[in-house]
Amino acid sequence: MRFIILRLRRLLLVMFLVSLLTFVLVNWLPGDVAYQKAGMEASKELVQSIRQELGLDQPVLLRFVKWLGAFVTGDWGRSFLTGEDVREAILSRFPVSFELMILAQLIALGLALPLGIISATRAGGLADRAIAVFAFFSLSIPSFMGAILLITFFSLLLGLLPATDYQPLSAGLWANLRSFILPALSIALVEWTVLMRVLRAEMIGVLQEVYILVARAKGLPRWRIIFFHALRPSLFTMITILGLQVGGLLGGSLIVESIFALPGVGRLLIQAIYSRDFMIIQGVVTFIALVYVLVNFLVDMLYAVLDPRIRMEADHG
Amino acid sequence: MKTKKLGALAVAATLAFCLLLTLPGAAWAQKRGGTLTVGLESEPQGFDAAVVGTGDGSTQTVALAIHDTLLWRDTTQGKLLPMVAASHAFTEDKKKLIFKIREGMKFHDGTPFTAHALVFFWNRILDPNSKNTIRPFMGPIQGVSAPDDHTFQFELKHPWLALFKNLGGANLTSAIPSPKALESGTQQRHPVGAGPFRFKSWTGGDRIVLERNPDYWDAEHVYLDQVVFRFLPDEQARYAGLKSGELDVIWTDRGISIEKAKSDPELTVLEKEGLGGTIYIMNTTKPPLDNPQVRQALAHAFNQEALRKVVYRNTRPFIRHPFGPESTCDSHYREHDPTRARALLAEYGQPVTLESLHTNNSRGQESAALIQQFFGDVGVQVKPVLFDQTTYFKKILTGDFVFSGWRIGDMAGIEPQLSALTHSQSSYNITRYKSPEIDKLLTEYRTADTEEKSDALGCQLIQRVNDAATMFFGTGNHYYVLTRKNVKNVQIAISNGVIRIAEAWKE
Repeated sequence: MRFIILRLRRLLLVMFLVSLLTFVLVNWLPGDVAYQKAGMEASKELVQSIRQELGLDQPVLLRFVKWLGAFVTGDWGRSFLTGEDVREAILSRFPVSFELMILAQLIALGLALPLGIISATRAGGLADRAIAVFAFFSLSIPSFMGAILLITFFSLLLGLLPATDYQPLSAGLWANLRSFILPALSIALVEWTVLMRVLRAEMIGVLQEVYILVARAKGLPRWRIIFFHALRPSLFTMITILGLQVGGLLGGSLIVESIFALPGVGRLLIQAIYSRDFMIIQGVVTFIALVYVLVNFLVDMLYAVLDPRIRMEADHG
Repeated sequence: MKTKKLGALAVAATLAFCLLLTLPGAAWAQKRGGTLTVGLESEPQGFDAAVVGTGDGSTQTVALAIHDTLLWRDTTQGKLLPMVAASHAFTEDKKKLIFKIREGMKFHDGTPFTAHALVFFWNRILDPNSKNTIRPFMGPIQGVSAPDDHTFQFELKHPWLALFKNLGGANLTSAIPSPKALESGTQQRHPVGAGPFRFKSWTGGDRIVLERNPDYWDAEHVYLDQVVFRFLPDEQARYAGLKSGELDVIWTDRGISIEKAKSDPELTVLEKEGLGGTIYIMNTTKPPLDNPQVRQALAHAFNQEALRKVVYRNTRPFIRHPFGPESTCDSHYREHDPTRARALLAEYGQPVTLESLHTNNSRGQESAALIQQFFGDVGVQVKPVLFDQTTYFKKILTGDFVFSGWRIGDMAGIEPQLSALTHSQSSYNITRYKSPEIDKLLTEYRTADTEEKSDALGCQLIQRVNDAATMFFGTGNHYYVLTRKNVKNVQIAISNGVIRIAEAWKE
C-alpha cells in the first residue's frame, strides 16, 4: 500500500511540473496565435482585439492558474483557432492513437519475444546472426520510410491494404483492423528490434545463473527451463522499455499518423504547434504526460508483481 | 444502290455520333448516386464567418457544398450566374445593388430562406465588434436591408464594383448560413446552409460527411448521394490515396504530382489560372530599401522565370500584374535585367546588404535560396531569415522586416486588396510606401462605375507601384485538382482554387 501511495504522490508532482513547464515554454515560443487567427490581411487593431478576447494580454502565470483550476474540474478549454472543445478533441482522437500503439506493440512483441528467445538460446549461432542482420536492417529504415515502402508495396502494387482509408471500429472490426495493419507494422518494424536485443542480452545472462544449471542438472526439459525459469527474470528491462515506448508512441507517432491519415493525438498536436494553438498544445501535452506516468506507474506495479523483493523493500521503507 | 444507301447511313450515323460527342459532357452522361471522397490539405477551421473570416481553401471547399451563394462565377467563362438570387440590378447611381431572392427555398434545418436571413448574416459580418478579417475591406457598404421577404439590397456609400464581382466567389462571406444556426452558436462546428448537400457528421482530424439535399432548389443537377471530405495534410498520402482509389479527388500544388498525374491514364488533371499571385515586398522605411534606386535594382535582379522553374516546376504562370490572364494591362513591369540592376546599384554608390524574410517551410527555403542567388549575382549580399508562419505574419504586419515574400489573394474583385496594400492610411500597407498620387488614384479606382474605368485605373495603380518598385511579382496563381478518370464535372472555382463538387458525378 505504501508502495502505491509513494508512486501516486510522485505521479501528481510530475503532472503538475509537466503542465506548468508546458504552459510557460509554449508561451515563450516565438509567434502569436492571434496573427494566425487574424489572417494575412489583419489590421493591428484586429490582432489586438483577438489577443484580448483570448486572454493573451494577461500574465502567463495568472493564465496558468486559471487554466489549471478549470482543467481539474474537467474544463480543458477551447481551441483558440476553431473553438473546438479541447477535451472532446483529444478524447475523440485518443482511441486512434491508443489502438495504433497497442497494435504496433503487439506486432513488435510478436516478433521480439520468439526471435529474442531464439537469439539468446542460440547465441553466436547461425540463427542468432541471421536475426541480428534482420534486426539491424529493420532498425535502419526510419518508420516514415518504412511506411512509404509498405504503402507502395501493399496498397499501390498489390492493392491488398488501404493507404489512407482510416475506418473507425463502428465500421466493423475487420475494416478497422485493415486500416491499422500498415501503420502499426511500420512502427513495429522499428520498435521490435530494441525489445528483442534487450530480451536477448538479459536472457543470455539469466541462462548462466546457477539455478538454471540446477534445473538442467535436475533434467528439466529445455523448453520448460526457458519459459518457466529463464523468461520471467529476463523480462524486466524489456517491460521498462515497453512502458517508455508506449508513452512515446501516444504522442510521437505523428509522422505515421500523417502518412496514413489517421486522426490521432500526434497529428492534433503537430497541427496545433504549427498554428500556435496553445490550448490544444497544453491539453495534449498534459494528457500525454498523464498517460505516460500512468503507464509507467503500471509498469512499477508490474515490477512488484514480478519481483516480490521490490514490493517488500517499499513496504518496509 | 443498296451499298450506297448503307454508306449514306454509315456517314449519317458517324456524323450523329460526332455531334453527340461535341455536346457538353454534363448534358448527356450524368449518373446518379454514389459517394465522392475528396482529399483536402487541411481540416476546415469552422463555418462561422464572424469567427474564421473568409476561411482557407479547404474550409471554402466544404462550405461551398453545404451553403448556397447569391451568385456563382461560371468557372469556364467567368460570367456571374444566378444562384440564390434569381436576378440582380444596380440603381442608376450604382449606389444600391438589389437582388431578387428565389421563392420557396429552405435551409437544411427547415427554416425559410428569405432576404431577412441575408440581412442577419451581413449585419453580423459588418458589426464593428466582429472579428471577421474581411470587415475592414467592406468600408463602402453603408448597410443592408430587406424591403420584403424576397428583396435584398446593399446600400453603398459610392459605386463599388468589387462587391458585385466578389459575391460570386467561394469565400465564407458568399456562403449563406441559417440564422438559427448562427444565433444558437452551432454554425461553427455544425454548419447549416441551403446548398446542395446537408451536413451529416464531422470526425475531428479525419473527415466531414455530407449527404444530398433533396430539397435543394436545383436538386435535379445534384447527382451524388454523399460526399466525404478527408483531411490529409501529407501530399504524398493524398496522391497515394488517389492512386489506390480510396480518394476520388485531391487538391495539390506539387509539381511532381501534377507531372505524374498528367501521364497517368487513370487520372485527370483539372487546372485553372487565378488572379493575384505571390509578390515580394520591400519595407520602404528601412535602409537600404528606403532608396528607390536600390528597390528598382532588386526588381530587375529578380528572375521570375527561374523561380517558376525551380520552385514551381513550371506549374504557375509568369505574371506582370495581378489582374489575371485576360487583362492586357501594360504594367511597367521591371523585367529581369541584371545589367540594369548593377547600373542602378552603381548609381546608388554604396554596398547593399539586407535580410530576406521567409517562412521556414520547403517553399520558403527554396525561395530564400533563390533570392540570395539572384541578388548576389548583382552584388547585393542577402542574409535569409526563416520563421514559422505565425512569427512571419507578426513580423510582416508589425513592419519588422526589410524584404520578404508575400501574396495578393485571388479574388475576382481585386481592388479592395490593392487599396489596403497601397493606400497611405491603410494599416495593411505593409511596404509603408506613402504617395498622395497613389491615394488619389485609389479613390478613383474604388469609386469607378464601369468595368472599363475600373480596369484602366487598376492598371495605372500597378504602373505606379512598379515605377516606385515597392513590390514586384513572384508568380501567378494556378490551381490543380486531380481526379480519378471516372469522376466527372468537378469544377475549380475562379477564386482560390476552391473545389466545387455540387454537380459532379461518378461513372
